Amino acid sequence: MASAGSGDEKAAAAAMITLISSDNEKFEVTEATATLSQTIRHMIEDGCTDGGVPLPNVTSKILARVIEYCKKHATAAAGEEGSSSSFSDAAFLEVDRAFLEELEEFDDAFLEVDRATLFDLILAANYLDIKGLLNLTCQKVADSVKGKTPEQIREMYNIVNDLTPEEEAEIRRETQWAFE
Amino acid sequence: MWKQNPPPDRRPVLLPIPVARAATSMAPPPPPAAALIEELVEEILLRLPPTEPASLFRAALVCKAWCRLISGARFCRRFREFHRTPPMLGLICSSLPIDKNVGMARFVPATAFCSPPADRRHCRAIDARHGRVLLLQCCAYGKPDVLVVWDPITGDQRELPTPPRHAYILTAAILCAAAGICDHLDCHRGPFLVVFMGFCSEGAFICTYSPDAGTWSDNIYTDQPDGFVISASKVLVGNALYFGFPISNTALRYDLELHETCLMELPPRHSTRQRFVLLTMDDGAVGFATVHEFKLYMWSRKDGPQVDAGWTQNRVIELQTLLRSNGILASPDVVGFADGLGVVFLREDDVLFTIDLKSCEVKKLSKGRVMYNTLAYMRFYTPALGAACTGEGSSTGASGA
Repeated sequence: MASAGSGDEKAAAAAMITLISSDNEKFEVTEATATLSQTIRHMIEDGCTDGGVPLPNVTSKILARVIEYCKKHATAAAGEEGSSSSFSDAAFLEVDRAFLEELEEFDDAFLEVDRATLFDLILAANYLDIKGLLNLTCQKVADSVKGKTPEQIREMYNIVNDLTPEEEAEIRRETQWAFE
Repeated sequence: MWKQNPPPDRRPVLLPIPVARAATSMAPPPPPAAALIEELVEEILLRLPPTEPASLFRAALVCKAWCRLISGARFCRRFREFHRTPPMLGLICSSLPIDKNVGMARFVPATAFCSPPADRRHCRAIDARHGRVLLLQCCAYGKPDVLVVWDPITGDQRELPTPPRHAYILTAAILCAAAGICDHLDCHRGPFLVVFMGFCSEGAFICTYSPDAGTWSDNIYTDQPDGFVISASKVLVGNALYFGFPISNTALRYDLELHETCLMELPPRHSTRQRFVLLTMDDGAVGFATVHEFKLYMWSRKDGPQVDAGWTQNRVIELQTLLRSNGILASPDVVGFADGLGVVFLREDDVLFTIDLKSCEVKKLSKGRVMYNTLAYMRFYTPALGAACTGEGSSTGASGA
């Protein structure tokens, strides 16, 4: 952990992990970056990462984005840890806030993707068990559903309405207020 | 394994979905596709804002699977656990009988949710907590007023028997009967407890009522001096209920477990007419807020059963600039508090507004007839739709909203 984000290249190089996407592309990442994924963390703990970690559910395009997210968040976490010992309280708070703001900006920019990619990112975050990324991406979809009519939601997400007209009428009766 | 090729129109498909599963030998087996998809839809819908219940209800009309998911007991429980603090669905304000107007309790919705209940004429709302409202229903002259426990969403109400001792001045608080152990996220249908405080010729007394007991408890007499108390500020902090009394400038602490009371001084105010509210602080202390000449003073104290910790003034919020930019030009009164939201209600003339104690953001709530008492009504409101969406054979555990 201590070696992870402090720029100590030698120590970091010793803990590189290879991730292999579904289309067989290889990605070298630090252990600190990779272990944001609980799935990979468990594989490392079980010692089954030699020869690379195959991720048959994640394409190279999506894996590259996921790694981008993990790198940023691993660096931020390491930066915070490092700063806590070397700054006064006030300076620490300042640094802390700057980190958070930068991270927020990063997250906002990160989410500027089309819906299909966003959906792929959710699947990947779930498969790799990356809590922060799952929260971020699911919240983005929830925000897009909020305030929309059922018709708009179906259109946006390609959902077939399989409620019978009678069922729909009954639910609408019970929820009339939500459409006023 | 997921088929990663996008559908031709590149629109993601959430549900329902015929998921293609490519056969490949090297993949570690993922969970069944349909379950995974439903799990992720749940993750998404959990993040809809509880402050806008309409979003959830509209989502329930998208398709059968969403409807079943949203009205399921599991989803409702997870939704509450995810958001933790119940949203403020509305305010319950009371007006006094003035001139030809009868006194009434009115529900003022803070957001769209069900059809707002009708005004409760001849009633005053005297407390609201854990999803319930306690009304004092004024009866004909000569008859004692009746306490009514009211669920403004379902309209259910329950009249309580008359307390054992006639009180010429009274107040009361309502709370979940499991005060010390419940998380209060969904206890509005569970057992409740009413703590009654009244003044009679022998002095002030407290007694309690729970539906389980079916009768009022014995009276506990206290040293609380007489005072006008019907709108007394009340707050539940841990296992203790505090009643604040403006004229004597004291608070009575009632320990729900030990059934003991103790009396304490409140922080100084400029006059007995200067209103105050008791509230809970983030650190579990009891708080006190009052406004004088555009300054919101915050005090707090931490009490144990035998400890008189004393009050500490820990914050002063300068209101003048904050309010002027919102068009409020005179110093307001503090009239209420939304527990758990860190929001204090203020009123200047007929304008009711809130100030967020963290961000200092000011929001106008309503303008109109002067209401004399303001209580926050907080509760999760999730769909409890009928058979149409629960489908045959699936669980019917919709949360009774």
